Amino acid sequence: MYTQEVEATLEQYRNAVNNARSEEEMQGLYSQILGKNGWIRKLMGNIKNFEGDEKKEYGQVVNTLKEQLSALITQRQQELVEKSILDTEEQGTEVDLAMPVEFREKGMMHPLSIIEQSIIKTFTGLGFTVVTGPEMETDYYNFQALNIPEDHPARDMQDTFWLSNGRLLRTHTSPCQVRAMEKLGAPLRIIAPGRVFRNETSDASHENTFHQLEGLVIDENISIANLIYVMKTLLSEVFEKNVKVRLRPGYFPFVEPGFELDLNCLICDGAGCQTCKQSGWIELVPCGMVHRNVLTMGGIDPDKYSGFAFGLGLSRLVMMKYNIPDVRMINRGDIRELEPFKTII
Amino acid sequence: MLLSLNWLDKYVPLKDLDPNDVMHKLTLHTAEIEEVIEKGAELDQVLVAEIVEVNSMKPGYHFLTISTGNASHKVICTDTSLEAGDKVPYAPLNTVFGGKTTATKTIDTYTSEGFLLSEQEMDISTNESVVFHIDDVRAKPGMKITELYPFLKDTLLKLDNKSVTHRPDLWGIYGFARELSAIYKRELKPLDTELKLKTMVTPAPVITLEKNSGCNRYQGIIIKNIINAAAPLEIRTLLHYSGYATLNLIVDLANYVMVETGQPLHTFDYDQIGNVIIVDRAKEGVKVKTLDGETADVPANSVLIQNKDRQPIAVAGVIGGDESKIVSSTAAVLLESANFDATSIRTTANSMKRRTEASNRFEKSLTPALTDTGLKRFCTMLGRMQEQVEFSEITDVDVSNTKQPEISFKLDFARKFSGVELEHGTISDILNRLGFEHTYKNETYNVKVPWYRSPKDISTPPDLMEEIARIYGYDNIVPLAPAFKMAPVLPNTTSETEYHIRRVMSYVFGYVELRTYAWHDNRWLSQINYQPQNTVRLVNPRSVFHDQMKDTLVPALLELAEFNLRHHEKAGMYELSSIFKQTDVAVEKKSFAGLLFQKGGDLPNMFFSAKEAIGYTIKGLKNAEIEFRDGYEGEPRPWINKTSSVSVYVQNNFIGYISPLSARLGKKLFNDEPMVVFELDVDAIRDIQPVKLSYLAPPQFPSVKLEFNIVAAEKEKYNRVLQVVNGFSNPYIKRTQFKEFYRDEKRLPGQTSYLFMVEIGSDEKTLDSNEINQFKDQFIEHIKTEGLQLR
Repeated sequence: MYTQEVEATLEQYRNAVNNARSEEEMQGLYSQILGKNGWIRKLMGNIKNFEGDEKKEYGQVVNTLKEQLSALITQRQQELVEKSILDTEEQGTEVDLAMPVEFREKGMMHPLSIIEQSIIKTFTGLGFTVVTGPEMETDYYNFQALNIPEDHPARDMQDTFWLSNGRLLRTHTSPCQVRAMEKLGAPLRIIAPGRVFRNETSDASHENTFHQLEGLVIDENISIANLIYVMKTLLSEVFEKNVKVRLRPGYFPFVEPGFELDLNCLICDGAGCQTCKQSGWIELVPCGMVHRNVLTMGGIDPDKYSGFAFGLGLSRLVMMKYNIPDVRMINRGDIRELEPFKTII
Repeated sequence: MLLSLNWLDKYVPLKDLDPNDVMHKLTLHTAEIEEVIEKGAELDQVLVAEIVEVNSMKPGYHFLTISTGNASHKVICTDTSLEAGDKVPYAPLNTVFGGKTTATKTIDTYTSEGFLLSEQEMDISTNESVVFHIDDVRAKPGMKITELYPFLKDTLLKLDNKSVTHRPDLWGIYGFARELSAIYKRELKPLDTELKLKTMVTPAPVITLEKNSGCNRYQGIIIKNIINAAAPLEIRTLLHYSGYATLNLIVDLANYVMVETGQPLHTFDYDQIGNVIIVDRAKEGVKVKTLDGETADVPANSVLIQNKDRQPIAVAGVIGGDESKIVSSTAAVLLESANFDATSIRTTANSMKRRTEASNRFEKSLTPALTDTGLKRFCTMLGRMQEQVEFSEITDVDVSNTKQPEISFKLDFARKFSGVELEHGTISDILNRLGFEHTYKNETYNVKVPWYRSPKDISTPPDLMEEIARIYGYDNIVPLAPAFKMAPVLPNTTSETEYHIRRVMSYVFGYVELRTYAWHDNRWLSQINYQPQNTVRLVNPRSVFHDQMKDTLVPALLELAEFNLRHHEKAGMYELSSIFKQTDVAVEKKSFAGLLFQKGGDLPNMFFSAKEAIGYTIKGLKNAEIEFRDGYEGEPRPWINKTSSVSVYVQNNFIGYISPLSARLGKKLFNDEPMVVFELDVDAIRDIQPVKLSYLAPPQFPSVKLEFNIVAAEKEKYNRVLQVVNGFSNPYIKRTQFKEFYRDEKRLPGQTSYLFMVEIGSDEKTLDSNEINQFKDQFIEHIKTEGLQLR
């Protein structure tokens, strides 16, 4: 059955398949060998020249040939696919992919908004509710409800912008304390970020318009030790490291006792440098235990509840965090100065 | 206030301590000390010299030979009053003084080897510029002047006055001595007020306090036979170092006692006023010539000190009158040590713009008991200095009726409030150190507030807790996490709305967020022809140009656009802030305004880009549909383009507008560069009803998208065409969408073609061609009936 001619053709095809260089070439060979008009079909066509057992034997031989060649072709095809993948990877793309791309034009939130938002996130994570209050405030909420009656010397500490309608521009975010007590009652955990105003001459470190964030916690058995803990936790979050803080006496009529909270200088780690005026500490957060009179004004029973309040200088924090040398940058509106904040989302 | 350690050391020993430690401890336990200032260190180089020979050089100049014991030197001196035998301070050559190194100085043929110093040059007083005569038997040539007068070297602690606003007892050196004694556990020496007064003068002062005079207590004494020379050098130096001018013994001593005890004193020239004092409120129109020589209007109702003829002789607690002021020849005084109503003093001082050392103290509510200390301290010091001085009896009119509070609290309260397991012994020890007498029974303290502590400062248990905790040391309190009950965090829709707007505008649409001031700049308003109505006015603005609160954020943005255009080709900017209005009521609202500029930009493109930003921002927040209606009908704004603006509506509520900059302002200020302005009401955006998201099943049967080019006259505008399209109702319509517009002056003169896509389908079947064609016919028929054409 295996005529010499068949042997030779088989050998020829085997070589052709093994030497094929491309998938196209393989497709051609497939048609020639296994296709509709291919060699195997032709061989099979010759079966009519046989009879009986020979016919059966011939059929088996051709089928074996078909299987062998089919396996060979499949194997070679896989090899070629593999080779072509390797070739493609080796060759790479036509373009130099290291070339820069231009990002779509991005804008920026004001650095103050960025910090404000990040602090809101920290506090809401700790279970604080965000409240807001008006910038055009009444004497009552800005002073009287905060235990600062008329002619109290503490009013001099806060040069006030007065308005023709009898109101004033709030000098601190503390009016939000009593507003929140009235609205939400005790227990209470709130923060109140906002813009505040002082009628003073501005320079690199003083502004007549700046931003604060008020915090207030009222509950049963709130202690000075709790205040220290919360402030330390908060500032560690803000500065993304474990900070050291200290309390010292401070005076604000709406707290008793009142404290100044100092932060261990982050520049020199407390060794003393220009930023901390060689003291190793930076005065950062005025705070204190809420005054009984203020609780009473807010409709909260001072015998049942106690609490603490603090005022974080947001503008100051923005300056510290982003190395802004002049506070007036914040309200200046010069896009060139805001451009570095493009990358922060 | 400057606190002299020499002065403090008179009452509590501090000399062995590092001044920085004193600063640190006071800051942590009492009040903020800002700085340690060394005084007189350079004076270590100054020697006592004796003048040996005086030679005249030329008019106004003497050439002196001086001796410093084992050496002699030549010096040129312009003080020609010096004589041989005088002892003077001498700064030798090559000493560093006042930041300069002394060098030889030659005038004509005379060479000076060093200098003789005045008090001013030594910075120990502001007195005179003549060379200081050392009039002291202990002075030996060659001796260091600081050895002779150790008090010339001092250390000052600079106190932050704000930190003792609530502590009237700390407005004097002695108050700080009490604190330091408690902090360092060192014994406190008493003030010397014990002089037995020789009461030979008659009559005593006759003092009348009228009803509601504003005077709580008035003590007066007449003192005669005073030799009003210069005060002793130590007193002058202490006053000078503490920041006071020195004048003569009587005035200096009154200041000295005020700085030491905190009690302001006033001395009247007895020969000018006599022995009668009447304290009363000022009527309208009172004028007083004050001791600084100026004539001042005294505000009505101020506390006034009057003589027997009811003529004003001093504005109480603020400043004395000129006529009765102390001069060098004064030999007899009426000394006032009084206590005035804090609020009255503060009001008067503020409205007279005379904040004096006395008024600063009175307005802190000094305790009336302090007048006695002040008066007796003055008399004791003066009497010990000058034996010949004679005194009258003290007249004391006291209507103060103050009572020191007694406070009780439980040990458990102290523990809960501080968060520290304080021991009874610790609390008791601290109270003792601070001078608080107390008893302890059944775990309850009963505490008496000492006479020198203000009841305004200490009247409740938390006030006492401050005393205990600050001396215990805040540093010794271990931080403790509070035990909160779990409670939901309430949403703040205003703050969330603002944050959403910021994020989308900045990070999706590339706008820059700006922050500006809360008031308009009137100069810029007139540049842009904007005359706001009903603004809220500032009573005390930073300048006359800044007396109106913003009623819109746009003007400041226009001003910043003008600035930023110098550095940028294009930019989008916005601000989110409060605006204010005064109608029947005062209104404060949150506004969101912005603008977009691009040099040489395509205005319609810019406009549509702003529209996209605003639409996307609002839709993204509440999922509500935004409607842009033609025109703007709000209050007049000179920057709005009258013909091309659109108003933004959501749920039929006006939210704001978008407009190209008006042609007038564009031409005047921006060189006709294209600009788009928008202004939206944040409160209105916040209050949009949210539209719920909800599942919608994909169509069961395929739909068909049909496109129609609808042609309308240009004056018709898009909104009219949209109205017509939406006016066609048919159950097969799934949605309609505007795709684009097209204009061609040749083929469609005066017209605009709008391409709309209408998607139709059914939930029950696939539409066949008949049904589709029928829909098309009906739709076209509708368009035509409405007077529009199809292309």
